[in-house]
Amino acid sequence: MSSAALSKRLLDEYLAVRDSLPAGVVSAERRHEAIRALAARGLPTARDENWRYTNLRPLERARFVPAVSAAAAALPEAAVLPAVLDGFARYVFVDGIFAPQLSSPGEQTGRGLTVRHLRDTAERSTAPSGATTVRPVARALPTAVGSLPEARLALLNEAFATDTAAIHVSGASDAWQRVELIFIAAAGADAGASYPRVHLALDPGARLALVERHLSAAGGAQFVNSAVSVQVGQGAQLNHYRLQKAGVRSTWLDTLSAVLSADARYRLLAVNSGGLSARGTTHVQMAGPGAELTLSVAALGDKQQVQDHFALVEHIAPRARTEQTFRGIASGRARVAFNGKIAVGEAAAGTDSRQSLRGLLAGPEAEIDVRPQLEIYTDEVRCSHGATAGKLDKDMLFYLLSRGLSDEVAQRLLKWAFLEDVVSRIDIPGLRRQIEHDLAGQMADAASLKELL
Amino acid sequence: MSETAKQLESLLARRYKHGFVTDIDADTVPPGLDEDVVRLISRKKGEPSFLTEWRLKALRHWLTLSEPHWSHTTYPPIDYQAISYYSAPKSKTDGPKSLDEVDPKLLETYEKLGVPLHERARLAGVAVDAVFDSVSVATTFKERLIEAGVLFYPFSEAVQKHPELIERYLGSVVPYTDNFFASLNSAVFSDGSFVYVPKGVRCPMELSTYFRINAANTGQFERTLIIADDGAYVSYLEGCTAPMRDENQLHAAVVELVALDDARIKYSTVQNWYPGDAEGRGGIYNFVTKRGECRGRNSHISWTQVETGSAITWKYPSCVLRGDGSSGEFYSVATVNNRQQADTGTKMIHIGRDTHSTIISKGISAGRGQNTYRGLVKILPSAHGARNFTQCDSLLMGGKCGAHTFPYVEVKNPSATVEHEASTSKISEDELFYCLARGISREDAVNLIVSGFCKSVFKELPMEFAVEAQNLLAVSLEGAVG
Repeated sequence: MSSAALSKRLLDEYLAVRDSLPAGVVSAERRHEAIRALAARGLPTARDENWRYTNLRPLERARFVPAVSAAAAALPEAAVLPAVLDGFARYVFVDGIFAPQLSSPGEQTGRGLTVRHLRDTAERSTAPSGATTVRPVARALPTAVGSLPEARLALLNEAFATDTAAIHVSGASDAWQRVELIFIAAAGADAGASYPRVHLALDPGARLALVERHLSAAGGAQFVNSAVSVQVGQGAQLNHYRLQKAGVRSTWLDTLSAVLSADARYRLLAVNSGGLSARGTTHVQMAGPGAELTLSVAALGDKQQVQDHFALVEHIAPRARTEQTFRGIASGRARVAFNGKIAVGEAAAGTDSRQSLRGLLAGPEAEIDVRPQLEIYTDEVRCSHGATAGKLDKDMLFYLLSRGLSDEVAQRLLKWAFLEDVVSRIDIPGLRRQIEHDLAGQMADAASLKELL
Repeated sequence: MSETAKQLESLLARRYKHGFVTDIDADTVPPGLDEDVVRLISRKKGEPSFLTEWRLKALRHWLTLSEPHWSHTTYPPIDYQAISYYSAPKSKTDGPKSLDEVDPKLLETYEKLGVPLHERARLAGVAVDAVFDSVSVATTFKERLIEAGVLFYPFSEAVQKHPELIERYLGSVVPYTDNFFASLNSAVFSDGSFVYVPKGVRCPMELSTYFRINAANTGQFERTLIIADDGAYVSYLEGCTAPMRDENQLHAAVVELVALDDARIKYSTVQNWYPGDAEGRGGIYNFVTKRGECRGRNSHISWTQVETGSAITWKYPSCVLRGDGSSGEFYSVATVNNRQQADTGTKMIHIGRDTHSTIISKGISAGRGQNTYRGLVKILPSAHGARNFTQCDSLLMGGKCGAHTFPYVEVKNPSATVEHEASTSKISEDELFYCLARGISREDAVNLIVSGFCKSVFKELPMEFAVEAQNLLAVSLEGAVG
């Protein structure tokens, strides 16, 4: 389908449902603005340099209108939900709409933490892109969500959004707030799309640990397009764990935009293993001096999967630090790609950035694509990157074989160790165990590996 | 730091040393491009019909293309109809039979550039096929080459003498459909060099050509074709300097290398075209397509480039590693100063089994220069056991310049190994201090550090060129680096 025809269809679908979309989530004006901007720009195509590794064909077939089945019929059994993590308040959204019966907020709304779902709010909300609740950050916001060409799928979310998880942490405190968000895609892609949407704002000095999971109900052929906006206030700390385990035939698209104020610390860790066609877009702006970002991504692709991730980190303010780590394994005929770009502006003197991107090829027809990019406009910097793509280290393999492990087990163990560069950074023991078991389960013949855990 | 900055400033303020214009009549076609112009160029050169047709096909294809703008550069739009596509020195019509017959003003120009054309050429053991504007005027050391069986001609002469080789190899590495600038070149290329090294022959000397741009408003469209037959070896040196000029000049060259079984080609470039003045006015647009194909088993192609000139450099000398066991290398030093822009790098396409490639790129940015490394390493499913190692480092001198690194790594074979590493930083204050503490002047210290930074590339150059490269760096950055 030509891109013009696709834009036309997108517009038609929007016009058909626009009156039924909740104004409390995104106002009609903003929806209109978003769809107009998106239609003008067009949906991404393989000709776009930063989308060349993405499988974009599902976009052509997608039904963009929100899936309406979120009510009772499609609700999955609570059993598909992972075990509750100690001390975490849980909020579950099905097809992008809050599902109170699956949630267990506990006594979370203690000091400083507010979690709201905006669907039933009548008031006009500015979240996520307007971002006015946290003043110091709002001033530092140079661009709006979706203004970046790579972030345009956030506009799609903005136009069709059905609900928003809005989290606000106020007040400086040494105590960590803990929240878990679970997004379940239930309706099949032919019934419509699922639009998870998160707005996250940390006031100066606040601390939040957030676990964000994306799952699919059985069947697993959904179309998900999520948008997350993050503001980390001065000196605030955010540990953000994003686990993508969409269904095996799903399309999962995601856009995360974050702005860091002075001395803010953002640890973002993503484990992407689900979906047939998955694409994550991460855009972080280091807007305050001394901000710190640790971005770690692990991706696992098997069979026909395409796992693509694009991460742009913009250093606007001086003395900020970025550490980017990517570990990807491509098995079967999968393609696993990571495109990490660090841009250092003229005013960002004292920037320190490191990128380590590694891909492992574990299938005869697998593909690894890595692009560690640096764009630097000042000399007072220290930036380095390393990227590798290849097979398992022969010496390590030999070491294990010589100690009596079978070839198969040795290989699995090394693959495991490869991903541990990312997974071991998870400092919530319960979560780390869950993820390790999940990943072990995805690697062929998991039993022996689980024994080793 | 501020003292370093001052020092750099004064160094940067130096002017282009090779700036001069030789005043001779040129046989110039009026500006504009259509089929008639292409036919005219072809007729003037007395080309066989297959070549005329090929040029016309290229033109027709070019007309369907639009100019690409993905490079990390900015420049005002180019009016392709305002360019004159052919210019030959007048004296060519009489045909100089020897050096004595060559226009003395031309020889004077070479003299100023220090081209070793007369005795110096013999002493240096270098055969010079000097291209002045677009037509070659003198070739030396022909006998020795003929003795060895090496064919080394100006392109237009090769078309007359060996049309079968031209027909067979022209466009076989860079087809006329390849890209906008390659299509344009294919339609209007004026002249260039042709080298054929027969089976088992080791070319007895380094081959060298000096490309020069002279007449105003004349785009240069060089075409170079080098073929190394089974087991042959050739080292080709290309050096460029140009007169000072106020208007931008477009240079869209195409270089094709073909290495057959066990053949080795070493292609070295020192590029020092006019970079424009301190405000970025004038200067050459250097949009070049260079590609080598390792067609045969265990063949080898090595690119070495030192890019110090041009307002804009946009080129990616590449290797297509088709033959099993073939290998490619790319060594590059690119410097930008004032408002120069460089978007350069390489492509290594691994197709054959056990193919190896190495990429070493050193970028130096000073003034308001923008330096971009852009490279692709692609391992196709057929390339079992392929290996690549890439290192690209950038050195920043001053807070207003830019250094960018855009590598692509695409691997489709699980037995391949690809490693890429890069770093970007400014000249280390510690290293400077160390030198200064030992009585080395600041300028020498900067030179020393930069030389060290570029060493791994310079050592790949043939000796004569290594000296020239050091000097060029000392001219363009003798300002900025040294």
